[in-house]
Amino acid sequence: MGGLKRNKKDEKRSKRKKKEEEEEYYEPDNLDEEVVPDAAKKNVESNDKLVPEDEFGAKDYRLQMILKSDNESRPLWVAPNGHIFLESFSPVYRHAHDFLIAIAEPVCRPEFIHEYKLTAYSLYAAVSVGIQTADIIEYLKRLSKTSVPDGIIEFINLCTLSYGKVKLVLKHNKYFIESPYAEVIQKLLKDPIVQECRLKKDADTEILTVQEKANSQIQFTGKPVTKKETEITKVDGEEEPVVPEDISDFYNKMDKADDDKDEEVTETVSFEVNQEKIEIIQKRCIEMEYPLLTEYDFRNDIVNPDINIDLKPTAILRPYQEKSLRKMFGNGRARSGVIVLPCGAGKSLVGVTACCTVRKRALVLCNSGVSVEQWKQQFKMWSTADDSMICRFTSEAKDKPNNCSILVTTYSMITHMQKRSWEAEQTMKWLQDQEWGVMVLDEVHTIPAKMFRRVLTLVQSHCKLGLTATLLREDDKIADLNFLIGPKLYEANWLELQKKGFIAKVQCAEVWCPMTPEFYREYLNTKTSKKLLLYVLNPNKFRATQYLIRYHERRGDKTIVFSDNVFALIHYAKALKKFYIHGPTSQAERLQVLQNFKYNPKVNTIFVSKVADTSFDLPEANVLIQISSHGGSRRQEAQRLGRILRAKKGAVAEEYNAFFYTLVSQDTLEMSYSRKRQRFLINQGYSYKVITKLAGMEEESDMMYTTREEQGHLLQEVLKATDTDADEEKLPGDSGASTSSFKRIAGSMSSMSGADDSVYLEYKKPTKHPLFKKFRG
Amino acid sequence: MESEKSLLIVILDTSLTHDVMCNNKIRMSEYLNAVTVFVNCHVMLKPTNKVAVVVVDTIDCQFVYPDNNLSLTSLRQTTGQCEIFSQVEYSLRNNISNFISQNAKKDILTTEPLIGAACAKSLCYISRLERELEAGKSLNSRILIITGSDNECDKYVRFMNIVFTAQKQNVIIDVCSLEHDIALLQQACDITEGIFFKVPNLSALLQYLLWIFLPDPGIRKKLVVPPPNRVDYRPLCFCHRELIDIGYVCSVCLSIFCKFTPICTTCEVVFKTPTPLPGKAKKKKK
Amino acid sequence: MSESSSKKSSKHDLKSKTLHCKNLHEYLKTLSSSVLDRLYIHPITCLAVYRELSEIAKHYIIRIIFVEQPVPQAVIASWLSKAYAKEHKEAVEALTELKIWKESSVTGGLPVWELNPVFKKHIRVALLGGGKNWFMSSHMEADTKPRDIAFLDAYAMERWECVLHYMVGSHQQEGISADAVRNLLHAGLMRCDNDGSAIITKEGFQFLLMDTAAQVWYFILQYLSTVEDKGLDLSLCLTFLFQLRFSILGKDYSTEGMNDGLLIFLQHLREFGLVYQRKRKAGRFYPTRLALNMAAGQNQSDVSIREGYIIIETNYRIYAYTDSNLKVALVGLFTNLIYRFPNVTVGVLTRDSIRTALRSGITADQIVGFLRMHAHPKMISVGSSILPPTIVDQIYLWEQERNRFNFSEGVLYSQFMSQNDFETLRDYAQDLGVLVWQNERKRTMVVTKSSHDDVKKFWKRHSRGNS
Repeated sequence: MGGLKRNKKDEKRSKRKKKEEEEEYYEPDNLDEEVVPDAAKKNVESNDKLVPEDEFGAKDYRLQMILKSDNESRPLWVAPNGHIFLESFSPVYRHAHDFLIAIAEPVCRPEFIHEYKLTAYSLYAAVSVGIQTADIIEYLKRLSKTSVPDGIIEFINLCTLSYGKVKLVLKHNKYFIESPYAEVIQKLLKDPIVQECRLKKDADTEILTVQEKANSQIQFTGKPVTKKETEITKVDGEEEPVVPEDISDFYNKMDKADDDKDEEVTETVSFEVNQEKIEIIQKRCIEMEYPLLTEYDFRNDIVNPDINIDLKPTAILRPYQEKSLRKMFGNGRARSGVIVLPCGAGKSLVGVTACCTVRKRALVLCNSGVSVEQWKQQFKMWSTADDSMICRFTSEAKDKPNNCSILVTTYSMITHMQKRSWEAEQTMKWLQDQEWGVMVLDEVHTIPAKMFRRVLTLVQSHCKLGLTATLLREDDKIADLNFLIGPKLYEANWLELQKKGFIAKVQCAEVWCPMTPEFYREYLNTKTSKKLLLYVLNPNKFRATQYLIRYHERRGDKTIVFSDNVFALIHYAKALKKFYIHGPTSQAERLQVLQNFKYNPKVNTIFVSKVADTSFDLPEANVLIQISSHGGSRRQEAQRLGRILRAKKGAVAEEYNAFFYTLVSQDTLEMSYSRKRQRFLINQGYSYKVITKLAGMEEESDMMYTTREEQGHLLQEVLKATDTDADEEKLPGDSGASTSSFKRIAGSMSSMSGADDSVYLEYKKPTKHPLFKKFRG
Repeated sequence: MESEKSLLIVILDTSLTHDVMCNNKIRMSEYLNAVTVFVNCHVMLKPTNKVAVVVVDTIDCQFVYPDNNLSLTSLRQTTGQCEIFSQVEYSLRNNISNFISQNAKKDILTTEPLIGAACAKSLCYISRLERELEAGKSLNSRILIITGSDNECDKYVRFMNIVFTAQKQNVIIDVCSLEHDIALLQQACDITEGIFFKVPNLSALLQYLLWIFLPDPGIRKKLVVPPPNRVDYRPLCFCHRELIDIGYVCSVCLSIFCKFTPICTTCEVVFKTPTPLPGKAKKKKK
Repeated sequence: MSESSSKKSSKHDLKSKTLHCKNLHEYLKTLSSSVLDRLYIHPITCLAVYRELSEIAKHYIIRIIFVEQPVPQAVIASWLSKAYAKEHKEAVEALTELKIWKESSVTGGLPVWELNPVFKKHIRVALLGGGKNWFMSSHMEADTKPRDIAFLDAYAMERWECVLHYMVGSHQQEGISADAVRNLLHAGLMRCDNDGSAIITKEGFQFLLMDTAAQVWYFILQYLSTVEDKGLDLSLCLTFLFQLRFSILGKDYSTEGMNDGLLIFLQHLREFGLVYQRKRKAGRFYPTRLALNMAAGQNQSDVSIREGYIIIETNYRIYAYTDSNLKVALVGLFTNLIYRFPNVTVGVLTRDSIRTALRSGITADQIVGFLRMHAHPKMISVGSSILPPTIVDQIYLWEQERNRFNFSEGVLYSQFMSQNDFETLRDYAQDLGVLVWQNERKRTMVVTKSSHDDVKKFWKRHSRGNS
């Protein structure tokens, strides 16, 4: 940690600075509606309206799907509404899974049968990684147990035919619109707006035709690429008797298509566009139903200097990490997009590898000062980069850029609108002047679109890689990412990673704490937000927390306790005499507490507010207790689980090696919140054990709040607290947070409760956003 | 809902020694009748109980029940006996008499009944059934050896390997000896947690079988059973087939010799000559 | 003090009656001893009765079956080690109840167990042979078109599902005979609606969720209880059923020598799929697995008749691999069905769907049992617990949710003059264990209704003593 000294020096200044930064965050997003192509507004679920229901109220698809005679050896059902069901125990599961993850969104992936959904976006993503329309339909037909409904084929055609035809390529620092289809280019050129954006040279109609022979196979250093191929052939060999031949043949073809397609000679047509008008032409193309894919031909970029960085030989990519990177660099160029991996599954290594592969200047954006430090460490751990090459740019640590190769900073630093210090101003200027090769966006789901656009307008980069654990937001803005960054390139299956030991095996439990009569009476009589304080500070919950902490400390575990409510957090922490971290805690103090938690055997439990939800890397922690949380936020639940997911030593031996407790007060709002929060993880295959009574808690001696009197005091204290105490901590990065820190957002109930989930609810809510419509009807 | 099937394999030695037969301790027909009734009693206990019978003598061993050639319709009841029982009885009677008359014509090669071979066959049969089981069901198998042989088996290693296989498969080996205390079989029972029992009075063979060998291992714990014999754990040496207390063990193949040999007769490894150095102690075990 | 004997709450029977299916033992106990004696004349019944005994009892019988004299009770007691005395007692009771043995004493007053001679004789016949022939095994020519087991299984299931189909009221299958309908009504599984059409009852729903063997047995038991009204001989019918149970699957049997009553009985069994007959007068029949597995409890049945077809995921999804309307209807009893595909139905367990089922009288136990029984082989092969434990817990929690109020009738005592009075009476009630509720501050207490008189008397005595 080279930056520590500097941190202390800057401490005072930074405090003031941070406050500024935190205040001026964002105005509510209002996304321009035109940014979305028409085809994307199509919703395959509308096909459902005419489907008859059978006598049990189920949608009866039996007439539209005709069963094949050899259905047992095929793994899929494709429902006419775009939902796809995959048997995970099928012999061709692996093939089908790789294919589906490319073309469809996973809805839920528990143990036996996985559900996916075809959406306009997912198909867009599929096309952009180079899968052809015909291939999608053909393969889907082969994998399906039944005939594929006509509506689906139509939908696929509709969504993909115009997609992926045109690419925006940055070559030799000139932007080109490029396409293998001459007629498409002609069509675009007839449009007046496109004409305007075109960079005209001498002749009006000059179109470049390029014969291109790409021989590109990207090698990720540190791991032999050939391994994958051999693996697949081996598997095929084993399963030959059960896999229908057409499936395995086709799979091999698909597999190769991704990598080898470019070996063929392709003829592309292109024209150059004016750099200033990139955004206009992008928008126009979307309107014309030809969204532009951005690709970066980094190997032929001679204008930007290469940076001297490689993966260390010790860096070994896990299969899924490699697979996700293959999607990104599939055709020898770098695509922009989002990679979704669970927390603790090694997202940073993917980011580092991407940077090392492109070997151009890299910009890493993350959402807190702590994670800036952690990224720097990651670069030093996995790659040959040293201190001189990496520059941190945060309110506390401002290394001199000195023309460095890797810059790590936070979103807020870039988008900061107020006056900066001179130093920061210089760095900012330098940053803006650069043409970045790759921009890595960590925890990409947390940033609002508005802020994001500011980043994009400020910083020029050839290729953007978003990293996240949960592509999921309660306010539905996730769809915007598709057009701001790029399609989702890869999404890992949590349960599979868990089985293979890449992430910890977590036992999730929901502990029910009955409300004491006094608290419950107050709870029922209170109308204000103090209700929250009452159920969070429920003495039974307190005792359950105390008991669990003791239990796990005895086992030698490291425990993190989460509370969104700061009042409760401080109360709990002080009563139990533990360290705590929340918003106002300074950077230095945070690091100190974390260091202690890591190395000091006497500090086994810390209390944290939601500042620790993301990107606090605490590999030691294996127990997490959640005493209060942000309404029904599924994302928060997943993020928090992520804190303990990093694979533990000796991982395979025990059945579970990490524990995730959510304490809820019985018969209060918390119960329904927790149902909603769990949905995402349940769909990933996790299951929550409900504990109604903690065995052994009664025998425990000197527990707090056992007597009426003590409970009465606590109640008095709670009643004395103000309404603002009951508010959750407001932090940068909260979705939908308002400009001033105390204004509550109207109409956010659905986002609070996570009510927009696509599985369990009727989709008949009126929605105000056009993106909502095509997404879920 | 896990349902358990219980499989009993009876290995029936028909090469009864002259001594057993001629001194009128038990006649062959009585012997076979007792075993048949015993087998039927096992079937009678539970519908899920399965049974298999292997006959063995000094020449051959063969499954006599279940009998795949038996046609379902060929048998019609003529008495009040339950059909399954008459099926068992019929196949045992027919197949055993065929077996005996066939082998009477062949030359006798050894004086030993091929019990090891029969055990191996039974274990194969068990593992086949286990593979064919439906998901969620389990099979409890045991083997009962009924023999009048007295010799120590000369294929010591092979037999012990079979016994350890049985132990690994969780198959219990019980032995009902008609005459002798056989050290090797005693060891087999001890290793697989089965019962070794020597019948003191052959005329009451059936009662002994029903009392001691009918209860499943599960229920044996509850019933009061005769205390186990002391097991003679001395191995046979490979050179002279004698029980020994202390001997030489080949460090490569674990063959046992009562005297030092320069070359292991089993795996042909060459030993160093024993010297009075402390190094010798390593080679020498037990 | 004024004693207000106001009712605190009236008693409600919230819990619905759960359907109980007697096993053979319980059924036999209800029979009169003369019927039992007549039953033991048939070797096959002796065998059937024997099979129903506990394992200990079976070994007792085996050990004394070839012994001619009665056996001293002390001897038998010594067979089981002391730790299992309870099981010994149960076995002895069962054997006495079924009149397999009886207590007597030999000279010298030694108490002995004496095996019922009829039973002893005939179980020996069953085991060893001798005695009279079975009804159905007269000799006959081999069937020219023998039926294989797969055919019989399919036939049996089809017939039996007709009955179930009728119960769930799906109309695509052929109907069932008036006799069968009468039997369903008699069994209380269905009842007549106002307009005369039969509708399913709460018990009927529970019946649907039982496993097939238990369903058949329950149904047949109900049938047997009416058999004498139809002019048939109960012991003969029972004996015939037992013969079917011990017959061999895939083998044909002759109807020759059966009397008219039995032939009628046979036709009824044929309707429910217990036996297969090509024609009514074919002279031969094949018993099916339904007959063989009848009443043989879940863990005893040799081979289950059908494959599991339900997959339950930890996210409450249910996938039922079936195209049968009946099975879908059964799953639909407690599941919210979403999609129907040609060979699979997709549903989801929700709080509402489970509560609907609970309201219609099905218990959580039955739902869980049903799911476990029909779990897809893939689920069984995965782990120790077939169903995801969290789902099972949740189903029970949903059931408990409905039972958060307990109603009990009681009498309220209040307005005590002094704390001392209150405490005296309260302590008294507490000692008796009849105190339902008390509040010290308000000096109010409730005792159970039955103890009201008692408490009142005590109070009178107490106040008299004080005054």
